[in-house]
Amino acid sequence: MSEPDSDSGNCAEAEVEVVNSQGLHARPAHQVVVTSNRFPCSVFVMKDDLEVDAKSIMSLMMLAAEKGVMLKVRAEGAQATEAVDAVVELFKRGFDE
Amino acid sequence: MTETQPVTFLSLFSTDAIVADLAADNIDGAFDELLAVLGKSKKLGPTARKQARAAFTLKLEQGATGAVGHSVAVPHVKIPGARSTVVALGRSERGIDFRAGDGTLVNLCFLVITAENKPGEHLDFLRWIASLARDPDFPRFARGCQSSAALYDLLEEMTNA
Repeated sequence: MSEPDSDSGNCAEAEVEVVNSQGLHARPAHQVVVTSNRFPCSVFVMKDDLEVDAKSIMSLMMLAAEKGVMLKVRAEGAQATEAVDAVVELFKRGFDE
Repeated sequence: MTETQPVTFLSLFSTDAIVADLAADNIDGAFDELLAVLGKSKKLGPTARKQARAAFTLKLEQGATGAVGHSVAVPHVKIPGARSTVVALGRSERGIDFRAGDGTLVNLCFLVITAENKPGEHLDFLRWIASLARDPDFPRFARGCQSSAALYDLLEEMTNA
């Protein structure tokens, strides 16, 4: 896991590790969506070469991200840094599972 | 996930564990109806069904209904009594309120029960469902299926598309 490692203009991104034992299943994905939707910017989550919309549970499910997997969280637009911070925090907390 | 896994997930379904027209009009009712179907089809014994019911009640208390948007819900529980993944599918013509984030009523409900020690299997299954449901044809065609066999055929067609 890391703090947001870049913030160029209205873009920000950071790497996170999936730490909860059950991985990014429906409930954590829902939390990512709810959190991302608090911000006006676009938010994405990337695993390997697959990047998906962090405001769609269905898209996040496509990642099938298990515990231990490293993901990249990226945002573009207003409040990009705040959005990345908030999503990263969810991962760090293991989605309270 | 390997390229052969979509076929593997399809093989978890059978027409006797697919309900073409759910009678339930709420989350608990839909879960219980699909759980009963798994009992009748001999896919899940009484002890495992009790475990599943208790686990789902806990999930609901935590606010996890399984709604994933696009009129689809995938309620999922892990139980010690499951030796392998067991699934049932229910279609609701009128739609059920699963408190989905996108506000849609759920027309397709995939009940998934997995063993406690296989989280990766559940994630791969969710990816398979997502890959189907993201195709706008799938929920549209599924809503028109009037029988368990028609729903199974649709799953097969969309998996092989």
